[in-house]
Amino acid sequence: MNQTDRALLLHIFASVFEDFAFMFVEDDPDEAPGLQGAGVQTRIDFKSTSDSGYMEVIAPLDFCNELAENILGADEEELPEDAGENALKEFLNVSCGYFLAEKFGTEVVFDLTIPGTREISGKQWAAVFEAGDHAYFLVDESPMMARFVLDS
Amino acid sequence: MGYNVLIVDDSMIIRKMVAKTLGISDLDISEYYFAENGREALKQLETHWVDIVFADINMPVMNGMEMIEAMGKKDLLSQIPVVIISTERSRERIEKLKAMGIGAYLQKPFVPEEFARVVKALLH
Repeated sequence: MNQTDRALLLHIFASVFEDFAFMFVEDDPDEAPGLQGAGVQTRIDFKSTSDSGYMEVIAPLDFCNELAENILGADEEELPEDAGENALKEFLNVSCGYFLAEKFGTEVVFDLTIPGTREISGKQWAAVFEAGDHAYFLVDESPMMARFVLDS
Repeated sequence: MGYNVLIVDDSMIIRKMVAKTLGISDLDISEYYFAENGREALKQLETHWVDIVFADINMPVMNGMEMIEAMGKKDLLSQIPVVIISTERSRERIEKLKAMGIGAYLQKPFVPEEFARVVKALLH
C-alpha cells in the first residue's frame, strides 16, 4: 500500500469512525500494543470495468463489541453474540464505499462483495504486523490494522 | 393508526440502527418487519401491509435493485415508497435508482435528523 492510499484510508476511517460510532483514530501512535484475546479479520472485494482489489481490517474482538455498542447505543448484554463481527463488517462496507469514491471518483461503478470474516490469533496478528503491509493505528486506544490492495 | 415499516438489510447492525432511529423519531410506528435480502422482503410484502420500505442495495440472494424491479411489477407493491440506505456513491447507479422510482436515497452512515425529515416527507 503506497503512502497516498494509506493517508486516504486513515482519513476515511477517522471520518467513518467518528460519524458512525463517535470513536477516534490515532495515527502513528508512540506504542504499538498487540492483540489481547481473539481478533477478527474482515475483507471486502471490489470490482469495476477497469479495477479490482480488496480492503481488509483486523481488530480485537473486544473492540468490535465496543463498536457495536457505540453504533447502536446499547449495552453488550442487549446485543446478539455476533454483533461485534457484524459491526466491523458494516464499518468496512461503509469505509470501502467512501474510499473508492474518493480515489476513483463517482463516475466509476463498483460492485462490492458481502464482507467475509475470520477469527485470528495473537500469533497471526503478530505475523501480519511484522510483515508491515498494513497500516497500524489506534481507535479509542485499541489497536487496528488495515490495508487496501489494488490488483495489478 | 401508525405506520408499518419493512427494513431490508443483510447487516443486523443496520436493521437495528434503522429501527432505533425510527423509534426515537416522533413518527407513529405500529409494526416493524425485517428481511435480510430482497427475496425475504417480497415474502414479507405478500403477507403484511407495509407503508414504507427501507432497503440496502448490496445484499446476497436478491439485491435492492432486483427487489425494486420485482415490486414494480406488482400494482399494490409499486405504490410503496422505498428508501435506499447504502454506501453506493456511483452517480450512474444512483440515477438509475431514481429512474426506477425510489422515494429517497440516504448514504450510510445517515444522520438521524436527515433520516426523519426524509421519511416524514414521504409519509405525510
